[in-house]
Amino acid sequence: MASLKINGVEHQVDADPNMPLLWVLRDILQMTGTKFGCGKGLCGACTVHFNGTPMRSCSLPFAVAIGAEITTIEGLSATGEHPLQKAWIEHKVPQCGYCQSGQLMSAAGLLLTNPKPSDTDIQQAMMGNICRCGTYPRIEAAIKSVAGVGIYQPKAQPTTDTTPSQGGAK
Amino acid sequence: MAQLSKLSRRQFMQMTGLGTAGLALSACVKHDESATKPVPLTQTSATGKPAELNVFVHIGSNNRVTIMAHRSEMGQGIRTSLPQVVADELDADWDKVDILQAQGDKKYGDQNTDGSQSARQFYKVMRNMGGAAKLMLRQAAAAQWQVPLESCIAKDHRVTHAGTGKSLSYGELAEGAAKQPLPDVKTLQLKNPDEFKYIGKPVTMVDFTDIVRGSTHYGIDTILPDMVHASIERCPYYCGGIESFDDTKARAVPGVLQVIKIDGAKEIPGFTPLTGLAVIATNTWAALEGRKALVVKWDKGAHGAHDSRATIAALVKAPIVDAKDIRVRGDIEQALKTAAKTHEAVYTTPYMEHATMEPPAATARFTGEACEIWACTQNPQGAIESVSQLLGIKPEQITVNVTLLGGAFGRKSKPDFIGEAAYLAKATGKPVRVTWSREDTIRMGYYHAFSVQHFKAALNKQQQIIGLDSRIVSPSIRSLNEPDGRYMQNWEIGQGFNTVPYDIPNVRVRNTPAPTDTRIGWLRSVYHQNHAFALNSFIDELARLNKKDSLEFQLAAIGADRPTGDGNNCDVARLKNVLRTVAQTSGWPAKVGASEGWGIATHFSFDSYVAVASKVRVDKTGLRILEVHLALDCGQMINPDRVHSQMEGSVIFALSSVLFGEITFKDGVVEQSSFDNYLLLRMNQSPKIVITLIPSDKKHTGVGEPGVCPVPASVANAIVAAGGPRIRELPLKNHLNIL
Ligand code: FES
Ligand code: FES
Repeated sequence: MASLKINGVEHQVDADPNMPLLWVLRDILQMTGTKFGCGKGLCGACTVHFNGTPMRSCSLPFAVAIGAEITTIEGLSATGEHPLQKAWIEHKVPQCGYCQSGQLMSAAGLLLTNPKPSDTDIQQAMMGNICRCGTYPRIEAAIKSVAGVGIYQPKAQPTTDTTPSQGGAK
Repeated sequence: MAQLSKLSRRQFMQMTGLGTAGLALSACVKHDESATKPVPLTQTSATGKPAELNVFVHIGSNNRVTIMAHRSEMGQGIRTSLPQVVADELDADWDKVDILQAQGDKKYGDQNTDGSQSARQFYKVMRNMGGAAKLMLRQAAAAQWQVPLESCIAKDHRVTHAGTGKSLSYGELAEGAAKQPLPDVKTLQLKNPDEFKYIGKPVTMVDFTDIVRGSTHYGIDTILPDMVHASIERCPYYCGGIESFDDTKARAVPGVLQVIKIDGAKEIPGFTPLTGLAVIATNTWAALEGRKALVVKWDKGAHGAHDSRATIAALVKAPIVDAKDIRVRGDIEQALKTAAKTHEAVYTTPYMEHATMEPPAATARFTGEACEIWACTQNPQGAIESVSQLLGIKPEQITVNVTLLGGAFGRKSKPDFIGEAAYLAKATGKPVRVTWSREDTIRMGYYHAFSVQHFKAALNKQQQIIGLDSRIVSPSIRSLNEPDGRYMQNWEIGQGFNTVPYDIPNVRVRNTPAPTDTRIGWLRSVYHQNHAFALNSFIDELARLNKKDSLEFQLAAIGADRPTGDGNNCDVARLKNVLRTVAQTSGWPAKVGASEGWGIATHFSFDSYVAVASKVRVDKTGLRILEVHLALDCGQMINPDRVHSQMEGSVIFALSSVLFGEITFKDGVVEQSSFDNYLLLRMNQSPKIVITLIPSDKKHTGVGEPGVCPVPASVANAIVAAGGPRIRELPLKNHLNIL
């Protein structure tokens, strides 16, 4: 039995330590906001924050998350009032919506470390998140609309020994 | 929507409205059950007749109006836009409206959310539904007050008496309204467009709040008590089978419960599950790990040598055998003989896969008496039919609950994955969720047909096209159900190959047979996108041959205003208008920098008119898409924002296709597997996009698909304009480095 801290709450998890965090979240803890898209770090649908840094939960053995602060889309804000969540609705970003949990977590991670990103910064941070419906122009506009307006403070400071998120087109 | 896991089954049904068949009429959404028993305006039967008044509108005594969304939501906004129409005619207050997703049931009419049909088929029906419900509310008020109907005015969720000013809310009138006779649709007085409150307005999608909080329910998110998970190792060979297997190691993987063999169709695949071994486990990951430990020897069947590159290459060169004339006009042989100039070209497009972000996923529970299903399906009635055949039970014993769809593009109207869940639920006796992996999705698809398109044109001295000889070779979707479906169906060729908008006196359109070596299925805009690529590339080649501006040449080829005479009802005036519109927004013929160029293309599909102008840069480093302008004429619009977002999405979807989209087979097996070798456009590659929606009071036409059609040729034409090569074989990644 291991203890996982997700959105500030400790959960007792009994699972193979190699099971990716994604499946612990979805199948064991029944938190289905984090999505499966590829299981290989190629699409970003499964993005969560690991000590404040966006990570692909499909490629993270859950044992690695023990002792870390994990934030999922369900915990991005208590009430859905994160500036990015509001901007997403204002800009009518989603189409099918399936990729948007991951998009929001990547965008929130970007603004945490870089409150006023340039166009290139945004594209670099978001290129690991595929949207098959093609919502990129609106995602970009929504991020820009809140850049610099003040973003939530993570409970834990990012640590230095985290695996970087796997993003990026080939 | 609340967390599924924290709810009892009964609560879950109430929250989602996903009840068993027959209960939908009194299902209760999102509010306290005791206070708010919704009143169905009519009792209806589930017979095969088209939607009867009024299964779409329920009103609760708490004044909430529930509108049934009977089409599947996959990002096009249909759960919002059709109810928006009902609410407008009903004069309901949108803030007091709840949307309930309908189960699969013939009483709603057609639910197959495919073919860009929803607004075309249901705009009028929805207006009637709202209008009829409003009339019944007014009648109820008139009866209660003993006053003439004309003096009872419905507005803002209330009926008011013109004489006295007294008024009652819809909730207060609901019970009385339910007792009113069904109005005759012909007597309904619907609104004038200038009275619309929601129709034509960019109403926000009802699911946005849940989406940004991660609290939506897609097919992959269903959780039932005692549910087990399945991941299936399917036979990678078309119509192949299993020669032998050893599942000992798989069953030893922690979490794996059992392994079940599924026998799929041997000859024609239809929509039945593929042959495979289902690993049943306590969670998805254990099921996936179990699969890795399976040892399987496949029976490769008759298609084990399929090599798609070789197949396409051979069809480019093959002599014309067994040609079928599809359309003949004038004398093409004579026109080619007497032409001042002729030009010939062959274009090829590859197999592609839908690559929905949410892979196919379905959950089923089988009790012996009944089978209940939750799935991201575009076609719940089709799923019922298919499961009924598979399990040998009656359609009435099957319930299909429609979740949100994480993208669909035609993939999720094929119920093979739903059949898998139903079959395994029966075999295990437990609720089962089948989740496809990304690899399954890419390698086990219903593939967009490849095409080989041959064109020969005859031009006279005035540089006019006097003859067009064309021949299409492309596997038909009919092959799913017909063992010898080697010729295309008329509607497939009619998707822009037979039907060309140019005014040409001598035409011959032929079809020669294509082999079937995999499951062929429709993918967003289907054959249109292949045909639009080839035809618009060819017309650009002819323009260049004649040293003419491509836009001017196209407009001249389209010719005088008329409906095209090929049964296609394309009003060419509207087609020319979208072309001129993108020319204007893009500044055609715009000045460009070094190694840059613009290309233009147009296409009529799903009754809509689209033109696209694209700007690219091609240099030593590769190809970069800089700008894409799109103009759409789709008649009236219910929700212009969702039309706009569909167009943005269409451009990006089509850029993925033209740049990267290619499924290849080698030794009978698909070579691609995930997003590292089946690439999709990413944000850093996404161009500036400019969309123009043409205002119109004409009938509603298709939106979901038409936008993709002209994009590929506009890019291919732009590459030539930028000084790059004429590329006749898609995708472009095989010829240029994509930046
Ligand atoms: S599911 Fe994790 S990156 Fe695709
Ligand atoms: S909104 Fe559908 S995949 Fe992004």
